[in-house]
Amino acid sequence: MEDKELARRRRNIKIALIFGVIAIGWYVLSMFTIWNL
Amino acid sequence: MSTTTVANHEEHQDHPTGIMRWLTTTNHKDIGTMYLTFSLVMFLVGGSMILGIRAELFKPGLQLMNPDFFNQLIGVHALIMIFAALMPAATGFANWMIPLQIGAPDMALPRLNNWGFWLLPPSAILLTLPFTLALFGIGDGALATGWTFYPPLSVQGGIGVDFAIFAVHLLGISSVMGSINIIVTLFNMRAPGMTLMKMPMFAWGWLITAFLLVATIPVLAGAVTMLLTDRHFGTHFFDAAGGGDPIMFQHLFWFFGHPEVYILLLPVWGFIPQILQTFSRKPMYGYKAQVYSLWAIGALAVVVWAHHFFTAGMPVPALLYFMYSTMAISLPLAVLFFCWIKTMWKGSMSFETPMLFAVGWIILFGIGGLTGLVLADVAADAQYHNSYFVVAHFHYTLFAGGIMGIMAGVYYWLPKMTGNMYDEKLGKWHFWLTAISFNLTFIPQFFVGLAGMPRRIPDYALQFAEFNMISSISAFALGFSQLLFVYVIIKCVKGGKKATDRVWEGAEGLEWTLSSPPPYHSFTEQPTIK
Repeated sequence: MEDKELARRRRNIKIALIFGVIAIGWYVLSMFTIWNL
Repeated sequence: MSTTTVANHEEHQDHPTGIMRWLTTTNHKDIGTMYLTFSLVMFLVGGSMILGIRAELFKPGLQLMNPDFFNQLIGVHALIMIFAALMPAATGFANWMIPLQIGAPDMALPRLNNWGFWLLPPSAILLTLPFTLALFGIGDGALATGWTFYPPLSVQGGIGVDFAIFAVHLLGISSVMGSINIIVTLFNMRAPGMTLMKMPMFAWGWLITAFLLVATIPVLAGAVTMLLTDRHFGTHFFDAAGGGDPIMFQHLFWFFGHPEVYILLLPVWGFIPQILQTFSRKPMYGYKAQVYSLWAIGALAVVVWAHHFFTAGMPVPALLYFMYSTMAISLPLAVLFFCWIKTMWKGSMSFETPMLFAVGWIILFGIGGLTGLVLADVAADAQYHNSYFVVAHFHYTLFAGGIMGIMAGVYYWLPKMTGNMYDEKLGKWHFWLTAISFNLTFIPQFFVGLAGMPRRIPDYALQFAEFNMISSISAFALGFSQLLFVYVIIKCVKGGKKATDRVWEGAEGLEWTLSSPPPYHSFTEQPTIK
């Protein structure tokens, strides 16, 4: 596989992980906020 | 057009056949087809449920079902239509068309794509299984809370609520995975030279949809997780007797629920301008204005949620804020309407089925938008809330604005997907039958709603009888018209006049540069966009 394609796939996974962490974090946070309201 | 070589997919040219092809596929076209097929099946399932409702409402009194079963049908109808029909249809188009439109060989994360789809069938089973279990004396049927799961009813409900909670979790996971895949694809897989502001409008609609999904689905998931713990693990998040707050659930639910409306509509707002430009044979008007308007609507979508429960009670400043912010959505939406109309203005228009659906869509969705503006008014909403006016409003938004938009997309892209032209005559019949029966179903509901008929009630006062009869008869006509849609699709898939590569004379975009149907692996060499 070309280096360029490999780099693109790594970047794909990086972006996906960022949004995945945001989604899971937001899920947990939405349950924690209720105790303060 | 110069090209740059990217992924070499030669090693994947051989794919399994039969059931294994569909179970294991990572091809965006296969997965798109599965999404669209699933959506069509669930559309018929959800539609048949509401025909049961309309049969019951044909005349006053209880005829066919007890009130609890009536409520179950309503709740599951909504969940199926939203999560299992409309959303998968938009995702199916995204899978099929986004890689083709941006010149990518596939979606960025193909295995995640497969996983995202295969979470859907178990979710649909979870939603509908309680009906079957009840026949064998297990549980008391599906959830009877409406699709909103409001406590305390949902805390007190039977096992149907638990099934629906798990289904919503799975559907949410599927949606978030699909959204992440689309975001990554659009950020990182575009053909060289295709800047963000050169992306097709459909890609823009989906990018904003995907952001909205990532921002709101986790909140819905959090809310229903807490509901589950309230039901089974002794917590009191939404139980006032234990210090909890049932209104808080409404806030959390509608923080998801209102953006969900735009999640269903933004992909449609993406491809409708493409259809309008194709059949007007002139460039899309106001590309940048449309993109900025989509962003403005996406941003406003997450800050207006409490207009869904004005009558639950909140401080006056909050009422005013949510009223004005909701009404503010009409500004960017008006920009979109003007751009859509201006795209057609003085164009060399022709009215093939996709264009008929697109033009009809503008008018009917416009009615949905305008009646929404009425509901956004706090004082007026006090009268309209919980009435059939609301039911008519959101069906103009979600059936006309959502499903009829999707139908426009189906007719537009079906020749590209299958390589065959659909039966134009039958397609036009389908449009007119759908448009007429849809209006005859829902216009009477505006009237009975204004006259005070409450929603979600299986019986009603005598003065509403005539309008309900018209609505019920028309609903059956609307339902059976969709069998024609299914027939047209099956006929087109099986054969017919061969479609050209470009299919439509005025079609512009990378997907039309490929053969019809496109090869199993397309754009293995990415085009360079000048």
